[in-house]
Amino acid sequence: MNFQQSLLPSITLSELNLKVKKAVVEADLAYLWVTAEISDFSDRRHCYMTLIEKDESCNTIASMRANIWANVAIKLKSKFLKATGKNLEDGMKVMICGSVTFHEVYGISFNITDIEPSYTLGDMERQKQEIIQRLKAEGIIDRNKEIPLPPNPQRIAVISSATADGYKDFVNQLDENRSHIKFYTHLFPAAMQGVDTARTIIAALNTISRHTDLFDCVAILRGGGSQTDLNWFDNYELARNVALFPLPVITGIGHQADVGVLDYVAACPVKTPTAVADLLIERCVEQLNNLNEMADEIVNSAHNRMYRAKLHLGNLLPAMQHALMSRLSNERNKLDRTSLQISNIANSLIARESSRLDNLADKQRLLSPQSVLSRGYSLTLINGRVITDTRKIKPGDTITTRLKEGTLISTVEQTDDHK
Amino acid sequence: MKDLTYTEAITELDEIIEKMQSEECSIDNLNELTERSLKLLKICRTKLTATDEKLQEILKTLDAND
Repeated sequence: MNFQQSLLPSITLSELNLKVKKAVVEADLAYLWVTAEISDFSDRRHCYMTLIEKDESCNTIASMRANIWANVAIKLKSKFLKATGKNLEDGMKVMICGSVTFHEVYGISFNITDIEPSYTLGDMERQKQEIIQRLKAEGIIDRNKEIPLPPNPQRIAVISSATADGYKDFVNQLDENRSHIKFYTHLFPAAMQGVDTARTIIAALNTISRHTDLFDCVAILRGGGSQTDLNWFDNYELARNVALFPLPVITGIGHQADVGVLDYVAACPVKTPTAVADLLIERCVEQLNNLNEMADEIVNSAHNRMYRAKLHLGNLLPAMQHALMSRLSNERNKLDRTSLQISNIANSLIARESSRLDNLADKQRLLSPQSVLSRGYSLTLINGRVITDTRKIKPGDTITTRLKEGTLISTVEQTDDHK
Repeated sequence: MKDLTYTEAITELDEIIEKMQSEECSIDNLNELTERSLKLLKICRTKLTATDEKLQEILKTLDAND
């Protein structure tokens, strides 16, 4: 079939690749500085990766295989780590110097010979700042910082890796504190490096959020002394979860000069796990000292109060004597005044009664027969009886008339009849 | 008296000490306040240094439940 096509002029694949190779060499694509993103990174003796470029919608718009030969890789990786604190890895934006090569079997590839770490640093910083700005715009960046750490943070939910030295150091430091403060730690394991870091820490936070009544705070501890892989923590979702967590979060993830996004949102950012332990111990020791001071204050206050009471009693006795004396003298004065008043009243009563008696005697005197007779009246009697009616006597009767001085004896001649 | 948190106990202690130091504190109250404050002090010290076995047990069961 299609026999005719075999008659068309053609070249072999190797001949084609030879042409491409020649074109590539002629294009002089050597020692060019290129910016790209790393993907499919693998670090064996030689380093292999795919360099990619994405547009704003994250679609890949360019891609090329790349490598760093072993002898160069040792130097480049060390230079990069020293400057950025990170190893080369997927997702990282890099500026590299290299040459385009063409191999007849493996095709086009970019051979890297140098790297500019400050470009990556700048990109990491930019990403970090973007996250911080976003959290600020959402108004949640200080949310966790607003939750107070209790005075005795003894119950600690630890997010770390069980095998991490930092975690062991932390637990040992707490257990061996010289003040014998009792701490309770519970590990919620999570990856402390690599692509799973944010996801597993968020999962651990979610678990802890179901038991917030059991813990005073959360400690996120990153083990070991290596400064690599720190910006796995510079993740928006993780930062947001920490910011909104209902318990205060303490970070000890081993930053040095660089401050990660988590340190902006955590209630207490501390450098290392042992520094976190020290912070917790110091806070509780402060409480122990505070309690001792309070005990002194209680004893002193009680003594002071008793002393004041005794002093008061001491002052009270003379005051009471004085009060008693003045009371007595008041009463005496009052009695004197009252007795005077009584005698005055009695006197005036007596005087009034005596003048009334005098009046009565006067009246009696005026009305007595003697006093009537002396005013010219006379008293006529018959047989010793006073005559008040002429009908009781008849002519010829002898009557006696008593005057003031002396008595008349008369014979009745006539009486007037009463009509 | 039981189930006071450390923060509750220390807050009450602060209030009692303030009361004991004020002029209003009467001799009648003094005994009661002193007793109460010493009890609270003990609670706080215990919370800081003694083992809460109940909490330890709960923490042990946490992994099994999650």
